[in-house]
Amino acid sequence: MRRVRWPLLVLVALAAAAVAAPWLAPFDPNAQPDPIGLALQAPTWAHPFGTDPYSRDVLSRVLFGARASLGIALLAVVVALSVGSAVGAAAALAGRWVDAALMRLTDSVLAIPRLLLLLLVVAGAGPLSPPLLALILGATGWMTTARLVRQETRRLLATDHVQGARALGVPARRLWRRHVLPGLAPTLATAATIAFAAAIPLEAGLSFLGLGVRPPSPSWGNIILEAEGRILHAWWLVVFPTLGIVVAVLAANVLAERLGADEARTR
Amino acid sequence: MRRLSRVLLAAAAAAACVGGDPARGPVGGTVIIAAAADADALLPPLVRTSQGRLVSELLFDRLAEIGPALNTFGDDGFEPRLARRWRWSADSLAISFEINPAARWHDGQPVLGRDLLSGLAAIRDPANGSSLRNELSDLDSIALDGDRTVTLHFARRSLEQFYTAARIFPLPTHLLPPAGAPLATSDLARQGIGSGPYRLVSWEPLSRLELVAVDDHYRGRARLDRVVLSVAPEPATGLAKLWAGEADVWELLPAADLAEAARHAHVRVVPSGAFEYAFAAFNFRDRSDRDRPHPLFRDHAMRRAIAMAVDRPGLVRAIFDTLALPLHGPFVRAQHTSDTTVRQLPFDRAAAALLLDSLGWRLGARDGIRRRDGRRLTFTALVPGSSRNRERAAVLMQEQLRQVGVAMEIERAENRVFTTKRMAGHFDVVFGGWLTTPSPRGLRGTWMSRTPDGRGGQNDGSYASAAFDAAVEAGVAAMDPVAARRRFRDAYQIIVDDAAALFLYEPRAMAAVHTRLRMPAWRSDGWWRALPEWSVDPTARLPRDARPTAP
Amino acid sequence: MIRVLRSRLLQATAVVLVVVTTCFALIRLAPGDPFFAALEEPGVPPESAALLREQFGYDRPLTDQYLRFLGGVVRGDLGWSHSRGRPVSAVLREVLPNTALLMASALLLGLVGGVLLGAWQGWRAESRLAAATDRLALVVLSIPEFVVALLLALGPALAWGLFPIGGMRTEFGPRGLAGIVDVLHHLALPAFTLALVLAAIVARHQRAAMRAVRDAEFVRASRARGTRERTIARHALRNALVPVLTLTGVILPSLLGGAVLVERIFAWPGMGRTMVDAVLGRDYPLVAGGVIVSSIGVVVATLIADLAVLWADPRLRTRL
Repeated sequence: MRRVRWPLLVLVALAAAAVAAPWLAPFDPNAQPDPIGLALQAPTWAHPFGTDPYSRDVLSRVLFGARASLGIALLAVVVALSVGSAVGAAAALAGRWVDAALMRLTDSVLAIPRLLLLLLVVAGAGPLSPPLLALILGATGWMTTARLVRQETRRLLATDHVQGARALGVPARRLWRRHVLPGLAPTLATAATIAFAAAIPLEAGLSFLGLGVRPPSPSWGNIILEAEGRILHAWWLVVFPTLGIVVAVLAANVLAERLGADEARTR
Repeated sequence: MRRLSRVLLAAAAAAACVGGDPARGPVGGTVIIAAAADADALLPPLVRTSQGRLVSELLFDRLAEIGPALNTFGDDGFEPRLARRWRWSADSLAISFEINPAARWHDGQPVLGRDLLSGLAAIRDPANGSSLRNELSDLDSIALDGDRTVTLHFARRSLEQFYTAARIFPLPTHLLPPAGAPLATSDLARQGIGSGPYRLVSWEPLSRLELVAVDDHYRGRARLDRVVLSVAPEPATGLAKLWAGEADVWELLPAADLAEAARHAHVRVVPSGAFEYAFAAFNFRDRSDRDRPHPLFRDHAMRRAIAMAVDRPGLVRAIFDTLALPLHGPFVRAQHTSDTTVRQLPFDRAAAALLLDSLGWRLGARDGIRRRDGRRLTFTALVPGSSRNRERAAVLMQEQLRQVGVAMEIERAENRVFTTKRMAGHFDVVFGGWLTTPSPRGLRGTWMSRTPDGRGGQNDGSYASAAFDAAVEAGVAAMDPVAARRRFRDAYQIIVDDAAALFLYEPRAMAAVHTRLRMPAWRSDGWWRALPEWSVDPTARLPRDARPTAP
Repeated sequence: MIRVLRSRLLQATAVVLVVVTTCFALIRLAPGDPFFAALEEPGVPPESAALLREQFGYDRPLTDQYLRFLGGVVRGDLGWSHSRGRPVSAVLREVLPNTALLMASALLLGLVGGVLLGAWQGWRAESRLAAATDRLALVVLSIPEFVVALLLALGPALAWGLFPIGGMRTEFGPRGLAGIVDVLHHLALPAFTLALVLAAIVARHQRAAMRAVRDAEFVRASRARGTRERTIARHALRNALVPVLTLTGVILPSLLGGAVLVERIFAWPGMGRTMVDAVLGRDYPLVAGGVIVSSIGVVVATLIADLAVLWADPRLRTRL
């Protein structure tokens, strides 16, 4: 548990910053106090992260952007986890054929580049609202979870512990609730962090293409988009939202790794 | 005459900025133009963007071309092109053009009188959406007399009769698709076989287009061998190519990069005006049903309130710094009817708020957006994804409107999608732009309601004002420049008072060009107009300037 | 071996089938039926629209439509791209080689770089530098490719003008050998961007695999036998290569996703840029065709990686 403390702390801190954005942010993220005189200012004490081409405060936008970026990623994780566990558990419990079919399906969907799949959806449906975006991110990200859950469920079902309980005639529901589900928790935690680490850059990428969170609402990706064509004049527009992305993804990656390691050790 | 001299002055000023070296430079060379967007079409009747105009005007010739003085009255200053000479009828209701027998299409076929008929038919076909369609409503009929003599009969006299006739591009009749088949998807639309000084060598849509001088052109071979349009959607990429010497022209230099341009010895900055203006037009019709009035913008007070809530001069400064001028109406300053004394709606946020209050749209909701009967005051603005400047204008306006409690959503659409939606009227507000001409009669197509087909031509917002129409028609019909100017002023005042649109800006665009280019005077009605006269300094030739090999 | 090959091929075919089916489902489930709505767009020749409608059997039952769609894919007929005014297959044929070049270079760079780095890190797991570079790799793989492109590549390239930006070759540039050098010059930045992230991922797995192998019995045994350290490392590397090859198949789809954004930033004339333009231009058939073709590309590449694994680890050959 000690090993996962700092990445967890980082993620909680980010989440707290996102939730508290209205109180933390020094300015309204959409306010354009002076688009002529105050646009594209390098970081100063008044604007620690500088300003964007519309004179909006980048710190405030990064804070509010965290809400969109983290919120969408979180919702996507919930969706991915639900679909993935359902598929994984079904595969593990059902017979050979269903299992083979579901796993083949999982492999196949994994072969489709996820960003392209998202592009296909966006091309058909047009720009998406944030909840819909999260839903679709989740719907295209359940495969890893399904594989992990299937593997772990099969392992758990094969343990002496569960086999014994089954032999004792413990009803299936109780068996599931008391013996299998708790055993799945670490796997789900790992799967969640993996899904989270994958969702953040995808949302950023889509927003960077102008297909994700729609302006003026900030997200880490579309703040970077404002720097397009001005990389040399306005590095702060890239660096600060990127820091947000990297810190979140890094923390999730480390967490996933350490959870996996912990899990391996307890096994 | 004062107007004319003003136009002359403007042209002279533009020429002076370039250095005005009248000596014709050496022959040969390749110019690579890094552009923000690809040409939208090759055939003149289908073209809507300035890149499309650039390419189509190099591929196609007109009967006669307006001279550098940009005079549009009578035929003073017009230079012969496909027409070798012309003759007015005694009553000046008809002009006969005699087509140059040496003129050939790029496939070798001669240019004939029937090709002018084809050109006119393409303009008049509503499916092509040509901007010229309504400008030509005075033209009554065309009569062929032999293969090469065509007579244009006009329904009535006007000062710009000749100018109007000269605007028609003949099209190669023998290559047109069969009747009924759309021109836009024909082979001709992809091949771009024209009669101009350049022919199309290759076109990779959205990426690259190459033109080469026609060797045996009837007007003589162009001085410049080759023109390449290289599409760089990112200004950074296009500019990087220019700084590296890989490109010769970047046509729209952002103000932020003026200083950078000064740091490169091989780059100089020249004005690249193109008679363009941008606006945000209200839709007077319901976006989903053109037969119904728009729920918000049918109301004059609502349009006024929106217009008064936006600080247009500030917005223009914020986007362009000093590289654009705020508009005073649907005209650019270089047009002879320009009048910057047209009364404007003031920027007055408090008054706008009061007006909205009086319409029943009240503040008080938590999101800060006004409501009436529980409905939010919100609408969608259609913005072309290819115009960064209009997109920025939309974002700035969005925030200014939010301050008075109006929620403007921005719908960014790529060029083709944008055009489709705009033409179909699927928008509440459209951030449009028109390429105008030295003559103000373009208003007929862009803002007038009474057009030959009963619908507003390119008047996509369906603005309809009988008073405006009458003023424009009176201006077009006036046989005296002073009277014309007065009539057009009336028209401008009417449309501004009606708040049909927020007239935003006229770019005073700057282009960055390579110093190795030798060019005569820079035309203010389209910088590319003189391209055939350009050439590359023989001492600064690059491998790409090697003479193109025969096909 | 042939039996294994056959079974792998069969699996790959099944995957392709599922991919095409997924795309079909998405196309048919999308609101407003954009695939067919696209045929109503102005600019689609009526003959092609009629032909496509007939070909994909718009008014027929869904199963029939599905079979026709499948047939179209098999024949290489993916519909009409109205934004390009050409068949989708013609558009893709033009840009596919460019993306293949970019991906292949990135894979080569990333795999070689990642394997060597990871192997070294694993072999010298106790060294400070190895630990530090491992942490750096973790940071690098947490940066989205498009940000790497913007920060590491685009910035310096613009500021110092070391690399050309935009396109694949210089306009009217040199031909022959010098022309290849010119393409490589243009390729350097986008390939490096993709390779960097790939190398970071590969290195981390390679390191773990190498450590495991280093401590494996056969290595310890041969060390006890007095085999030279370099020889042992070489043998260990071959064994540790297996998971990396497997990993390549897994990473490939996300690498392709990264290529979409990187191509856009560097104006590389490939699939990614084409697809983004197609999405913005609402050119649905082109997007769908792009997804199908790139997925098939991924499946084929994965198949190759699988076969490479079989080559690297003979033990697996008998297992199937």
